Amino acid sequence: MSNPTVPIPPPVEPKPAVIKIGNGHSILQLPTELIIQILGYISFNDRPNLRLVSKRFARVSERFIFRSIRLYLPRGADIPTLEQSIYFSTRIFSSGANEVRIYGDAGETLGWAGVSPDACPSHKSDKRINAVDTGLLRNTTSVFTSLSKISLDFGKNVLPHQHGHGALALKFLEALHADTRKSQITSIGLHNLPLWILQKLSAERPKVLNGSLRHVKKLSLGITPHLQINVNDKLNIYHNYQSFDTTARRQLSTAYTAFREFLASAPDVEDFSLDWFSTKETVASWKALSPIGDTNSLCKPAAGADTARIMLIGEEPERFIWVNTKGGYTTMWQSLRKLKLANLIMCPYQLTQTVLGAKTTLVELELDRVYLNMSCQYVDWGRGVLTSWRSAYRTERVPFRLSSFTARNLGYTSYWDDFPQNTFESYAALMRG
Amino acid sequence: MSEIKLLSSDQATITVEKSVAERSILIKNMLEDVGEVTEAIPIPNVNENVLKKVIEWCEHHKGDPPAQADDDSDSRKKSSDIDEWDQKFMQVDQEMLFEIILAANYLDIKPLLDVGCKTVANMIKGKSPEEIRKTFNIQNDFTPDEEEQIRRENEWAEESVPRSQPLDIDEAC
Repeated sequence: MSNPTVPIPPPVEPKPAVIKIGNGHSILQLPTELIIQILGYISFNDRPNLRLVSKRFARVSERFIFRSIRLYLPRGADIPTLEQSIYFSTRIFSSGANEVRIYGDAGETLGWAGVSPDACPSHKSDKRINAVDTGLLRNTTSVFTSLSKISLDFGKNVLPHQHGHGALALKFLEALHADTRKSQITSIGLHNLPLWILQKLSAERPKVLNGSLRHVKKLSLGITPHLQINVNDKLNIYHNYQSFDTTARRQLSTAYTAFREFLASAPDVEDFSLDWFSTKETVASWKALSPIGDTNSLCKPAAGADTARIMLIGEEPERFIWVNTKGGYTTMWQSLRKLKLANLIMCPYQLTQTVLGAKTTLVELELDRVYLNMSCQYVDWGRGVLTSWRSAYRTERVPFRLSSFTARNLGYTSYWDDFPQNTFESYAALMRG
Repeated sequence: MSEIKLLSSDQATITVEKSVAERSILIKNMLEDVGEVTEAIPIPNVNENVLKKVIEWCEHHKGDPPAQADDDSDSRKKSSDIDEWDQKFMQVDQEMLFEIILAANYLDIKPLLDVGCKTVANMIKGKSPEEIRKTFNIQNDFTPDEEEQIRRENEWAEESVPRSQPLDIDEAC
């Protein structure tokens, strides 16, 4: 019988030892930027697990807020301006951005930071970057006053429960607001913007938005559609066409409202880019909420629908076919024509199926800038687009006035092993005619 | 064929073809700065075994085009996208694997760093938190309450997900 006056020590659980690797390097002893890089290769779907591994894993895996940050300097930016920008970049780098790029007014890359906040080695020859490397990053007050436009690519895996992310995103935008009142920023791009952040911005920070966006002429918004749906529908909605249920539809409705409010806070926006049309369900629901032909409803806050420019990005061709069979394209193109579309962003497949289905449409739209998404499965369609364009130009002598051509994601080939290596060359040859 | 000498942290001298060593941006910049060198270049953060392993990788990849440093962020490849030779190269114990990653980071050999990080990422993918801890001998430093809180936050993501379609298709587009 044990003596009740003597406390029995609790059983001691053996602590699993953290095995020291080599000179003492376990995965948790790697520098944070290397752990970030490792976790960056892990898909969104596996990341919830990472938070449960250990506190350090949780901290690191929750740091992905901005995927990339692009800052554009005004013409004639000097070294102090560049230094300010890079200093700023290194500060916000801790938010987990995979890259920070700084562009000159003409779009040339002036600075770059990858997974560590260093200047890109390929730009070492740039004296301005060297100046930064040698430790001249000092005493910046505000970088925003030095910028002409800003583009933020949010990490699409930013989740509502990660309150730190939301707080940081809001803080960032508040800082932007404080500075944009005296800045030259006329263009803001928010890409892969999780719906919940947009809602927060619209609902909780109307003053911030009103101030920040007041003088913005060009606004680019991109919601992360599958995240927005995933969060509410357990991941699989985006990839399961049949299960697009009322919850997701309600979310789209909310998003639509948030969009309207967001736009309403940007009264001077003339150029509005919307990255939204990613799934047939999204398009269908969007149409149900505000028929796509009624794009005026999106552009009302702008100076006028006639001057508004809309860009559409479509990413999922097989889903867009569904819209096509419902006549969605016709309505869409009619409304775009009405809006005097000058810029177009679409994936090649849609161009093939729509614009090039009736070659004259391309001419009627008087496109002067085309931005093609050439990634993964769109290679052959892209070739078809360019061939058709060239054909239209040659045979019909149409006033083809394409002045700018941008292709992105050409390098992303990992989906297809048989991705033609000469794709870019053949595109270039087609464009040269 | 021009050769240079490298001096590891444990004072071993290794002779290597200059073009091979220049896969390391650190060494390349150093050679550009100092010109011809006859003495061994000290690599104080890397021991002989690891340095030899890194050189083995550099020799195999010496003909590769230089890494695109300003590659678009979307060019981030899938973690399974590792060359077969590199996969075999990385079949080492964890001690060596992390040493290689650290050496690649220090020597600024981005493609090798990528391969190393992808290899670790592949060791993590698809595993439960417990399996990840076991794989890397990580101590669970959450209290039961903290763990429960995270599990609650993760609930929305923990239902089974049909994997018949690529889940991360947006990455490419």
